[in-house]
Amino acid sequence: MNFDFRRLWDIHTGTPHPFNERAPWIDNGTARPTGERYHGKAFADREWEKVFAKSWLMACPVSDVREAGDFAKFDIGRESFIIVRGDDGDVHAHYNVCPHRGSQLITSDTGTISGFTCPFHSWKFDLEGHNTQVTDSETFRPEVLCHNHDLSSVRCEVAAGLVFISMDPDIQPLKEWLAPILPQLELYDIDQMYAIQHRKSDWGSNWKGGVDAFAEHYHLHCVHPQTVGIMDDRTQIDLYPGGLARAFTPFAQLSRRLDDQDTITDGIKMMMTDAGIDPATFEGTARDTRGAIQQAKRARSDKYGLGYEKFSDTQLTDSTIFNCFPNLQIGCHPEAVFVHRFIPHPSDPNQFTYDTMILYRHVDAPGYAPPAWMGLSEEIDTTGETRPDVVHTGLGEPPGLGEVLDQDSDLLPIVQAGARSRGFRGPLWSEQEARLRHFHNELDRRMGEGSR
Amino acid sequence: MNYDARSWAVHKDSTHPFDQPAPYIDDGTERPDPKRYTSPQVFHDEWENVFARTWLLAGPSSDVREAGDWMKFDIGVESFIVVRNEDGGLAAHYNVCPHRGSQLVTADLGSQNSFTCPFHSWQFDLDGKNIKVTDPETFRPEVLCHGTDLSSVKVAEVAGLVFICMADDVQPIEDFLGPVLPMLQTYEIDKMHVVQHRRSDWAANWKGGIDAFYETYHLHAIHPQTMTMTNDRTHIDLFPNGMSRQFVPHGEPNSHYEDQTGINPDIAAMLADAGLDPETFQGTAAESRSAMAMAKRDRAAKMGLDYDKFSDAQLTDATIFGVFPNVQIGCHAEAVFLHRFKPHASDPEQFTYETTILYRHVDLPGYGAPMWMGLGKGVDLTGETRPDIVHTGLGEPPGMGLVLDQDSDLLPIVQAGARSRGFKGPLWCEQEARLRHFHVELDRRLAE
Repeated sequence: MNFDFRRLWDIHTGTPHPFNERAPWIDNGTARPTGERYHGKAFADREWEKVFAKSWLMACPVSDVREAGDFAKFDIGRESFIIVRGDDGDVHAHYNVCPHRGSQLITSDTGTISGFTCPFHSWKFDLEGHNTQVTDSETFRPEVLCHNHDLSSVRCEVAAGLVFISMDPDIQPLKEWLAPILPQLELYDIDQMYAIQHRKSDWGSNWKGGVDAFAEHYHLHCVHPQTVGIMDDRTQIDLYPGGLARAFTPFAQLSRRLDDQDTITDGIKMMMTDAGIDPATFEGTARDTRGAIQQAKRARSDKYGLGYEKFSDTQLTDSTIFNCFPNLQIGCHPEAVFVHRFIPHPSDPNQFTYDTMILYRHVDAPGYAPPAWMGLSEEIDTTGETRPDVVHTGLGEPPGLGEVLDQDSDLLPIVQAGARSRGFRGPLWSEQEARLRHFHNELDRRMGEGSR
Repeated sequence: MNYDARSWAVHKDSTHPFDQPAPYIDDGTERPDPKRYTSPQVFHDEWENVFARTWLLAGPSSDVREAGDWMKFDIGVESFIVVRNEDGGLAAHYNVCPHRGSQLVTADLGSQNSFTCPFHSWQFDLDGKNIKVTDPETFRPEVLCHGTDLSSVKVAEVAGLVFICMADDVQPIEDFLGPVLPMLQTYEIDKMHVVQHRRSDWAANWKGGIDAFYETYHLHAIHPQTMTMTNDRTHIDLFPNGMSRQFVPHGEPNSHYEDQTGINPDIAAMLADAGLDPETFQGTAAESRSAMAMAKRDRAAKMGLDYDKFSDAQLTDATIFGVFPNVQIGCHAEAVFLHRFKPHASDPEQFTYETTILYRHVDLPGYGAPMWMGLGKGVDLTGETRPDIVHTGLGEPPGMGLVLDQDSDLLPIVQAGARSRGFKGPLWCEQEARLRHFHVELDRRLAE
């Protein structure tokens, strides 16, 4: 067999395009890490200090903070941050903490405000975090107020339409870290997109169990058998320095695990209809559908000036997935991007919050709409005029995120339960799971670093 | 004071060898530190030094009779698959896929030829050997060299019960159970099958469960309704390795019950159950127990059942065995009750109480389960259908009958007091000798 596990499969069809080119191979070895990383309390505590407190963390899309006073709350682990567009036009990030007695300042997920008033004693702060009112300031001894009583702020930078924060004041610039994938992300004009769906769901698993499950296609046939008729699990994986990675999920192509590679399934017919192809008159087999959809989308772009010249054919049909260390995955399509975040629990290594957001860009062209497979209900406002509420489901509740994600949420606690066992000697990763090993190697590298 | 708990006349005039007292073991009079009921450190040490190094009762043989039959055994943070293999032997594996750690089975029981992981469809045979790595060509060979079979643990089958042990260097199960083993074998549990199986999560340390079930001292206070027909005067035997035995006399009033002679309605019902007519019964309540034993013996003789192996006390009473660390087995000629006290995965102040009733079906007219066992009309006693396990969560009424519901109400109250700085540690009487024996063995192992 001449299968090359370093390269996996050649998944691209159509015209060669530089976007599809493979990144130089990175050898992450073949070691088997211990299972402790998934449940150890000490490991989780160290991970918080060495990784989360020292990384760039995606806080919100820039569309949530477009105008002065727009804010978004970003909760992660034991922390909460306020991301806000200042009157100075910049985006700022503050700990959601009043310097007086520690109360959180805001409790809603998003909103617009002219300044912050603490709910406890009505101290006030401007959007940039400066104190503008100490209630009954004459009752404080001056020496007390000499301690800084502005909000504590953190690093906050914007790239590719996404706002990132970091608790580490000395961290390298965001764009420097993101450099290997930044030009690729920028193709999607995420800065012109806005949230049309936003959900959070608490799962009984370590956050890395979430990262792991979302970073490989190997489980599709087993956990999501209904997907074999609409997507392939053959993929290309690219690894970049800094724990960054990329992969493709071929859509409108049957899974290699199906014997019948010719019959066009109902799921693929739906994707064809979306792209403006009539399945009833289509002459090819399921081997041709992915390429046909790519050509149809390109033709529509040419006709209406959608600017798809910048995309490879693969990008037009497939999910192009980017992994950003530590806890972010972005699934990119010309029409929309899916932001997945795996938020560690404040104290329990056996829990995390899965946060998923669909960002969409409205284009006023005939036949242009979110693809049907995205599963957006009729009621959803795709114009961006109303920012949808964040819907949060608790531990054990069905997340109601659609069949695929509900299957993941059912399985992950079962994986976690096994990974906690003394009988688990640590994961055995295939090269289909190369993004997992890349992520864990970066994690181990950071965990091993001395305190700065 | 010359009171000696061993003087209680539970086995009055008995010459049956089963009733012989065990040599006395002196477990002392110390007052242990109550942090054993609450401390995460003690909880952790117990798991590593006791649970991970001791034989643990995984379930009855009847649940794994045929090749491919398996049962899931969950305890603490762990889950095991115990399975009958093609050779008729048993294997026990961690319920963990070596690939990414997913559990392989989620049901309590099943029967199949192999195990398939729900995550990436790796497959394993009954002995745990890997028979399929999905897409092996996508693995670097060095990765698969780490080992792709299931991790297995020791398993032993004795007296119709299956035990597993996470440590390889454990003593043989026969040595561990010691004198308790031949006594358990009297009951032929291997010929029994599960007729009821329940689990219930309780807000107490698992040893709070052990403690409550290991003594009859609390009957008059917590279960006053039992005073008419269950005596708290007991006979206690202590054995090596933390094992113990005790008898709970049925069919006679509690020592604290005022009327020790009149045939009260509960004793009348027990007499009738044993085949005696309470209307014409001439004896007093103090005599009903031995009359019932004789009646059961006569009835067994007519049916051709071998009850000679049982003493009279065994025929009427609950004969209870404490099996270190977390099992109590209540034995009767017709059925045995397995009680397990399973520590929580992480919280010292929670445990799961699990109770399994195993019944020996005898297809003869007039033979059945004693009425007091409370096996309802809907229960299939023939063994043809294995009932599902009913699990109730924390705070839910366990619905296990009045006595157990009373225990589940009280235990969180005991736990709440036991974690107070005002509690200096338990003061055990000799009616609670099995508790002290259990805790002394626990301490011995914790110190190892």
